[in-house]
Amino acid sequence: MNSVPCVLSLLLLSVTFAAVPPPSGSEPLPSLCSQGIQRLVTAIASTGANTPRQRIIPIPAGVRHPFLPHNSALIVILGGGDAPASRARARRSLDLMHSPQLQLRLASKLFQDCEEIVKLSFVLERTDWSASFFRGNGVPAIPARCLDPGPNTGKPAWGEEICI
Amino acid sequence: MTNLLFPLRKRPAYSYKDEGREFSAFRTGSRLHAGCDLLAPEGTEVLAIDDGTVIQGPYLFFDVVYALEVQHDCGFVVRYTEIQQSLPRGISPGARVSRGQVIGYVGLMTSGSSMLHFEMYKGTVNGELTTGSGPFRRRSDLMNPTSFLDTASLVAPPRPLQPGEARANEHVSSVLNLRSKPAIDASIVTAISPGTVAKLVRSVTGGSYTAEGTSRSDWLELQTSGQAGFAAGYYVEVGKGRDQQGGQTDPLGTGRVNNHVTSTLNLRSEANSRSIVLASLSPGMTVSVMAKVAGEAYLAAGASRTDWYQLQSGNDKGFVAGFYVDLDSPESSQPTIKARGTVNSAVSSSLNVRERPELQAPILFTLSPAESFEILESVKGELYAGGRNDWQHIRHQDGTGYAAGFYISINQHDTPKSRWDAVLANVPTMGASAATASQDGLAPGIAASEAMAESDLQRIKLLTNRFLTAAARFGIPAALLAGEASRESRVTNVLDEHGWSSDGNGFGILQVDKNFHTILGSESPISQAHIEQATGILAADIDAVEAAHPDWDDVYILKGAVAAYNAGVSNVKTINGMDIGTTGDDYSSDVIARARYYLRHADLPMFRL
Repeated sequence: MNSVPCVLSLLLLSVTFAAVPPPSGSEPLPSLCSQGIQRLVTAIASTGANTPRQRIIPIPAGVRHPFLPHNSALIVILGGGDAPASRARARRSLDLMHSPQLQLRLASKLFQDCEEIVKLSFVLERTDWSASFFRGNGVPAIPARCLDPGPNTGKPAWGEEICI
Repeated sequence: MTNLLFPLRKRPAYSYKDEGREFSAFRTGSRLHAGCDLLAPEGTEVLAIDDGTVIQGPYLFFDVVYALEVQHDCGFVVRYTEIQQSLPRGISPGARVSRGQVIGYVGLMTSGSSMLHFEMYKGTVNGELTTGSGPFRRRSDLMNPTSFLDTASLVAPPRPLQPGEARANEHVSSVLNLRSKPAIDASIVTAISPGTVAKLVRSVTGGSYTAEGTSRSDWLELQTSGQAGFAAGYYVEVGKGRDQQGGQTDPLGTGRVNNHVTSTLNLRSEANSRSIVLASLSPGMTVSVMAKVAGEAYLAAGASRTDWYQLQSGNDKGFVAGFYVDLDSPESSQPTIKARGTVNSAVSSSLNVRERPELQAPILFTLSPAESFEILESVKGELYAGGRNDWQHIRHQDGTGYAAGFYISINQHDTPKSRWDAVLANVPTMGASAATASQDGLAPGIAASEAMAESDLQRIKLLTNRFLTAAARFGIPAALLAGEASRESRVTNVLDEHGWSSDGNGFGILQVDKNFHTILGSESPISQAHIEQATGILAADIDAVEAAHPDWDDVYILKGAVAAYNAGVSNVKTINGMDIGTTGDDYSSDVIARARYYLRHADLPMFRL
């Protein structure tokens, strides 16, 4: 491993939703629930990480929650560190990827702010590393239950994700 | 470490040793990354690092991307993952693959990233690659592929383009779209993957587009797989003229290995079937055709032909029988059928097939779950569920149209390994004759054949991989080869110490006759070369019997080919009399009975896959 996770510092970090502008170079926010997503992006920026892209995608039929009226998933891309100028931010992105508790708090806040979004995935840019959260029943958010990849795994159901 | 081939044509621009792409990097769920991520544009060709056999795949691996497992001859098992579900035709479990052969294409994840996730195993342990224990959740022989990747050789660079050819250049990050008109808002007809060579039809001035901050209007009309469309000139590499290439001979053009090829097409050193095999070409592979020549006569579709093509594939130049290559010319513009598809289990009622790869395009017809059809082309279209934009251009008895790729399984479920696999179990047989059965003191009949097959079973079990390899190469049931081996040599038991029959004419477990063939693989009676030579002879017998008796059902064609293997095609005259004149007057009946014994034996499940 090249990076030492700064999990401790992130656990101590309070998630603020101050009006910190998103870093320059980011793509426009999705139109769906733009205020809630803006708050999420701002909270991520307050950790030192950046989110160059966010994507809203529909959750396919068969994987949706059986009762929830909405089926939009938000994918948040956390900036990688391949360009020298972005290495510091990339370290913060890695730290965030190493912090499931912070991710859970961010997801909970997003689901409270945005009724339409029922799944949130953090993805480290230019990798296959992702961490997903689903709108919970009784709690704001629950982490995806990991399935092992293999020929007999099949398609994950609601609340599940293949973890590699 | 063995120097193998890098699985992509060029090394990734981003390192596979850091930034979360490295082996053992952290992953969600307290897991460690079990491979290296090789970043590459969507659609990039994935290459086999060595000769090998496909174990299983494609299966869903992660997100919306798939995996293919290959047992390589060097011993390593490789899981090529995060690839597209759509594979080159012929890549399916049991298929043989060659070093450098295209075995898949890099897929696109919903995050927008695309890469080859490369996992490597020593091959010292059996079983599934994913297990539920340890931080990798992988089989115990998982290895760090980094040093292998560092030292792996790159396949030779793409050949220079000839005049009249074109392909996507380095500016293309995923695929090159061909549009119905030379305008950026025109509908997409098809798309070209990196490395695919297309025919340049003409240059035109069209709608403006911006590239590197500059407005341009240069477009090129290209043709690939029988479909033509317009591509923005900025993204296209065009073959230079003869004066710029040192006076090379203009080729006839590009072509494709066609669908008459069920496994691979041999590229030979001369225009005859006896010359050296230089390379094996997969169906759908693009080749540069240099010349049409007259060569040795061969039988195809019931007719004798002498047309051969001299062609180039990569660095290999050689000859192939003309029947098996389609030129990319207007007169042969029928699209190449890439694969078969099936409506998969994600569809609960019916799958809409639309006029265009768009959600609002008119519905032309619908398909029911499990219904199958031909895949004409994979195209990019409108985004739909799951963040996917892959659509399949399909052909069904109701017509052609576009269906979302998420709902289609390709090369799965309904695609038999060969036409003859399904036939073998239904071939009628009487078993061994009295003359044959008496050799083992048995009464004539199927029971005698089965008893003799049983006595050879242990030796057959030691050779299953060799039979399977030959079977996959020629589309012949592996169990039939085992039945032949039992009959011909009792799986070596009746051969002399050099592998020859008592009369000195037949060699090996499958007894290739030196009076009619140049013996291959003579170093061992069980050599792969010998088994494959014999299998090729049997495959040719199938073609010959089918040509001679086009009205026969498949069960009799297969049985007739077995009889011909012993006594020649000319001896196969009638369905009921095909064994008259064969050794023991029972040859095909006895071989079929033995083969069916092996086909259903509990110790040989691999023959039923």
